[in-house]
Amino acid sequence: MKQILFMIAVVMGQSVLAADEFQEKELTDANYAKWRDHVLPKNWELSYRKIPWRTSFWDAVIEAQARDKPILLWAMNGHPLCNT
Amino acid sequence: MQKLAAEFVVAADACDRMQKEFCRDADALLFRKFAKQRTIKKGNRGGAQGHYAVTPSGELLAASSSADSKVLVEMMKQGLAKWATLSREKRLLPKSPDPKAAENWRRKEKLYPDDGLALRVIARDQKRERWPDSNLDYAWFRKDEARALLPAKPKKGAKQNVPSELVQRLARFHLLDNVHALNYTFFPEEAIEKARLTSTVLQVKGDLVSLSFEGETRASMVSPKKIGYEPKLLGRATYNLKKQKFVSFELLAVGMRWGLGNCNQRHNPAPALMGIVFTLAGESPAERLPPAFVSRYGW
Repeated sequence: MKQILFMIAVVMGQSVLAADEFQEKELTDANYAKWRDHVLPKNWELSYRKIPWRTSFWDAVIEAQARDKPILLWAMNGHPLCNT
Repeated sequence: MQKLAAEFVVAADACDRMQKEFCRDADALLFRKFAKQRTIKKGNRGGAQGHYAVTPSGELLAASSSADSKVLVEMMKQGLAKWATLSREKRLLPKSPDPKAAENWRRKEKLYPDDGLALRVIARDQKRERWPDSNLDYAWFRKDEARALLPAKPKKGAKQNVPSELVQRLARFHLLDNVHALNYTFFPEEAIEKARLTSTVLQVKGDLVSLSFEGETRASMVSPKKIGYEPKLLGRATYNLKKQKFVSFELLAVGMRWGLGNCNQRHNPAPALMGIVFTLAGESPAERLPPAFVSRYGW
């Protein structure tokens, strides 16, 4: 999903290459904000988290069974919404 | 895509445990039933990773292991079309799944420190080698651990050396290279050569204590080749004495990392700068997911 969002961002002309231009070296009080802003994700990088993901497959099975709906599962080594 | 997704109950989950043949958990048995039916000719991300459209009964409707959004949309359409052809008996389990069954495999989630400190941890390289170039994890502190991040008697200028075990925990399980992917390699105790973090009270205004952080860590080991990270730490935070909680928090680690890892998709071991930022986690279910190595916290 993150890869998909990357492609969407490219299409939309987002500045996904900004990180290539980041030149700050050792962390200092003076460049603290630049480093922080460089590392923190941009809004478009977090857009996949706005989807109302159930965070466990079993929760989805219980809900889908009750609502008679199919399940769309994103499965990864490491949780896709955390550390994958 | 959102319109299509609304036709499903959408879920994201780790498949490491579920895909193992020896795992007998109820979700794993169901997962393997459809994961085994999947045939991916190209673009397989490895193991059972990918996107699945499935029925609650475990019937595979469609699957994809591609990062191409067009492929995902097509897979969702195929899944819905197949769903429409199935009888209710085929679609659903013969009896409702037991919510309590999950207690067997979701014990880590119960460790969430409701009255402590939950931090979101983002790692990113200074220079992008390829995309994705950042990853996300969480770090948890129990209430007493969070309180130990500032002086017992906070007054302007007071300093606190954060307890060594907490800084070591950061260095061992959170100051890691997972920029490109989950890293199964953490640093053992003996790999920690430096782990120091000092908080300083900048101001006390009513119940609010403003703090700065300063410190450094160095972790280095050979496994089987050299791996390490040596960041400098700086940060700021605000603690509410009345609520006994942090109401703002930033801790930034920047330094050289070197070596590879286990599964972390790092292909270039040459030393390079990497930054890691800790900020307050949110309240959504996704923001309450357990840290990758919480089982090693000793809680």
